[in-house]
Amino acid sequence: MAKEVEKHIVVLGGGAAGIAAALALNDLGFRVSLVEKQSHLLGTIGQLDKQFPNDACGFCQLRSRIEPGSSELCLRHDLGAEGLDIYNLSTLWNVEKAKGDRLKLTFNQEPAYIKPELCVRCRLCEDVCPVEVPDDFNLLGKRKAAYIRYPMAIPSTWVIDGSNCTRCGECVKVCPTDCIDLAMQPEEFSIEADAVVISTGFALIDPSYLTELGIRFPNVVTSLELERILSCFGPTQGELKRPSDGSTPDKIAFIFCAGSRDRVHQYCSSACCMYGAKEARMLGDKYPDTELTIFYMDRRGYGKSYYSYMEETDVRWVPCRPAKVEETANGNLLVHYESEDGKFHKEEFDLLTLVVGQEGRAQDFAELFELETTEGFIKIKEGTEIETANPRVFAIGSAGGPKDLPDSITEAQAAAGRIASLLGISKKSAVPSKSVEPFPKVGIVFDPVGDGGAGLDQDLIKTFFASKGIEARFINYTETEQGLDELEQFIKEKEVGRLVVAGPSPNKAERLLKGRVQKLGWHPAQLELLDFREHVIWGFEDQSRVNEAALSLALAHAEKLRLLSFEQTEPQLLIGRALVVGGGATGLWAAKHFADVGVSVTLIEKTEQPGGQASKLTRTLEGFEAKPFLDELIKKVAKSKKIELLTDTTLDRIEGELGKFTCYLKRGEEELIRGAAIILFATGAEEYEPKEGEFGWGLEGVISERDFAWRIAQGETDNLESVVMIQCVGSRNEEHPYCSRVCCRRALANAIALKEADPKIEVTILARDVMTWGLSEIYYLKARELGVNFIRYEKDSPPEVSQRDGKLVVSVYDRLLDATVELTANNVVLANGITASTPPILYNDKPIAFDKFAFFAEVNPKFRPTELEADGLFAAGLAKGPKRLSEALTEASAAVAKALVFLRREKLEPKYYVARTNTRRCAFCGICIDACPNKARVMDEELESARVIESICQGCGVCASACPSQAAHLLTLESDQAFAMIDVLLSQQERGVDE
Amino acid sequence: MSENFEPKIVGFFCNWCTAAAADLAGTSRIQYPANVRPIRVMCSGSVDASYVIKALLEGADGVLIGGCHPGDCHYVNGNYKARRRVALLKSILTTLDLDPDRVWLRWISASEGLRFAKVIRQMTEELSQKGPNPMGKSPQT
Repeated sequence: MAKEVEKHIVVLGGGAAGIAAALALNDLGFRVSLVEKQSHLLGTIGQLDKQFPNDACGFCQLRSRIEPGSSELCLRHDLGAEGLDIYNLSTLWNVEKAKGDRLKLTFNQEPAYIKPELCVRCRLCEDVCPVEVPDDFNLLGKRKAAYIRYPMAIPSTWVIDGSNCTRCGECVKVCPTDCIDLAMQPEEFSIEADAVVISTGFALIDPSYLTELGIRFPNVVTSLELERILSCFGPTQGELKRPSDGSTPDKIAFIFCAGSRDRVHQYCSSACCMYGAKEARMLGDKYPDTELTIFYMDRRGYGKSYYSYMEETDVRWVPCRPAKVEETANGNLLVHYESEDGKFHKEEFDLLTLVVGQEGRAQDFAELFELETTEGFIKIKEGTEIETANPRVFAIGSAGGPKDLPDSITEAQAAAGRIASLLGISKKSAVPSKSVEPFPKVGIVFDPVGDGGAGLDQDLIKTFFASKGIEARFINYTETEQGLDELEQFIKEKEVGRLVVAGPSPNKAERLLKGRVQKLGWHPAQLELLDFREHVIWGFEDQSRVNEAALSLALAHAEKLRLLSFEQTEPQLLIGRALVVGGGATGLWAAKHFADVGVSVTLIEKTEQPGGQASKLTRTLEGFEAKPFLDELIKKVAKSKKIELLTDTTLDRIEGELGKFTCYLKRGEEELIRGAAIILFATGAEEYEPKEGEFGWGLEGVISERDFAWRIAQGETDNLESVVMIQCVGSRNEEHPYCSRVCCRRALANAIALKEADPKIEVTILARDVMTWGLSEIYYLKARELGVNFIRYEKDSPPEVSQRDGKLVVSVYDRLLDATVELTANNVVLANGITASTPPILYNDKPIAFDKFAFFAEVNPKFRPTELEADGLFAAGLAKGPKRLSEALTEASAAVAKALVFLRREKLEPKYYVARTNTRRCAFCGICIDACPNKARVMDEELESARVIESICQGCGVCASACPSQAAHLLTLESDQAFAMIDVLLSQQERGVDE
Repeated sequence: MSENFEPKIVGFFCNWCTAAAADLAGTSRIQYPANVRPIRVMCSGSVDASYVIKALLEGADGVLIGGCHPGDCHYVNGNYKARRRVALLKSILTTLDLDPDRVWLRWISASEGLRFAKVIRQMTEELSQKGPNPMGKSPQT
């Protein structure tokens, strides 16, 4: 077979979305170039310790779990991937067409003035640098001109900020590896790309124009500044101190929509309501006595768990936009605002946070690719979330409109899926298994950075290890090419078969060092890295004790390596087929994706016709016609030879595991069996059916929003004089504590269509919060302009609908008027929400877990949005929660990308970061099965033992410590190794070096 | 008690959080007492009770298990399992005549270099007050 030409994808922008896209593409075997304008990756997310909706990080979960590196690397430290090149300080300046639909992109790379391959992260340049400039990372402090954006940044090397450097040359004098070259010049480089992903993110709005909100006062901070204040490596090391006097504020207010939905930025910035609430929660957790107030316009928590998140946030919510902020003599802030009852208030706060929004910054990129923009965001093709006018160019995250993190990540993974179906993917063959023999000679290399560790006594250390029969050598800078060569030479010369490197942290150097020994035919486990620099040389305050630590730690790790021994299991074949459950738009789209890349798929639909909820849609708010799209999709699916479409079929139960699921299907009385490597649930959801009498449901003229849309589409608006729309019917209440995400937009589409058909029709929308996030805010404005009335109602005073004299009467309490108003209407249109209709499915005799809203539960709402708890099971679309059509399709593409990581493999390879079971010892009690967080353990009836599915196992070792019979064990740290290490550490430390 | 008593702390540090926090402390030159000897583990939930008991029996003056903050575990809930295990372990240590206060479980995230240093300092100080682990062989003279 001819060697396939490697497909090359360029990802522009190394923030969260860009990294997610790069990793997802890399997992599919594409060559990826990730290009970032700043000195280091991780854009805004690098500045956020925790992100909503789970108030944790979890960035490490971006990689698919079967990929090497996913088991041990923190992705904030190192992306750790072969075939993924990172370019920092680089700006795109030219795009031209190249051979075969490729695009040639030319970049300008600013010099870093530090050669990254020689930088050993000693920080000496920063220490001597006399230049101080405002810190663009921590925001409220200074940084040097020689700097790293933050300590664990990617790349992990320092740079010199050329625009502020005075060329004094102090850093050059102290650099131990001569890696600084102040004469370095900008360089140009070009990449020919088969596809481009634009993930340039957003610029935080410049708040300086928000003078009425007091931006010039020291105790008025932006939400990002507060984020840094709360960060444990921020300017105040996580202590809440207000900028003017360092005192701890007791009364804090947040103003939402600062720089969003105003005269300058007419759109909504999508993420701020939630991240503002998150900051309030973080404050509340850390300082429970603080009094917190949020001034907001609409509470836009539109994601699945966001409404309950906001409800659970313990703050005072004040629905208004403050008019003015003044400063008092003691630096407090006086906020002037008008409450909804029309009363004016002046309230004093110790600290005020402006929750600032996103500004589009893709203008230049759009011009280079000849794309249109709206407000600085790239124009996205209607009916999609990520496609642009150029079929080879995708815009994800905030490049295409203000987005929050979870949506950005879904889009990033979706871009990988779309690119896979566009370009095809390469198959991955299994690497032969490699085992490790016990008891070879162990060597130790010390790399404490030059003369680092003033108290380090090389002779003493060498003599000590010689007495133990262990070869020890000092090599400087093992992470440089020269250091690696010396390391290799040491291995060959002394014929060692195991090596401890007591030097740089594995977080930074593991990939490099292990890569080198693998070239010598070693298993990566034969090299052990000990963070000697970080944990001892730089961390110990008493430098007289570094020798003692050097001896005990290095010897303990040598002992661990001496005991290392394991046999690798054989790779497991997988069934090259997918099962997609549900023939709605999501399922159809996913099936077509799989077929596009040549994967066979069985698509089952419980009704007699595919199409699902999408077949009931008319036009979207943006004017996308759902029906022609769906008809075309159904036709393509029906025609595809790769897709087996089974209607009137349901999934009864699943047995087996990733790579070899057996799926029992039911078609009437008939049972069908299909094998599949992965299963994607796209089982959809239902429209909420109001109870009899709920908001007048059942009265003549009370109609659902969706049916009303069809009436408008068919022109049946002739006799209408007045229409009242009621939002949040079956959403955001006790029974369904989530926003249904589609209804406000649908109401606006209907209202605008009515007004455009006949401006005389009175249209009133009764809403709790109008959910037009992102650029769809303009439709809200448009509806207002067209004369649509909006009345806010609260959950506890809902509108009442009755019938009087043949007309419908809606009475609702209007806070602005402080009175109950009565509206008569020909039609009352109910915004019926979305309810779960997820069918119960048994997987190995246990029901698949749903979330508290009865939708499929994703394993991580931010970073693994389409994956379920057990590997190989995916969900997308309405089955996972309320969604618009375009969002459901995006999610389907994302799920396909993640599923293809498995399906492109011939076999599933075992890894070294795994646990095993000693079958002879196993009592078959099942404790480890419940202990395993990844469902990687199964009870094997044949073996009469628990068994580990090694492709899924992440090697956490929880099973090993839970097992009462010591049958479960962990390859990376066996108990004999741990015991030996403890022995060494305690005996050596005790004796010390005085002996 | 000897004035020069330097407590010996064996640390079991989660690869994802506490070991990285120790890295960060090092790179940021946030220094701490030289009393800790770390063993990197994949998850605080993998620290077997026998490791802790072994360390105490071999004379460790303290054992520090460092895990991820609740909700942050790379393996979903390993830190909760660690919490449960340490609670149980502490209750049985007394029956073995071992001091449960010598075993610490702390949540230290990867960005909490400062907190790492603080915990080591605090633990070293408290163990110094407590004096040597009676299980240990004779302390330094």
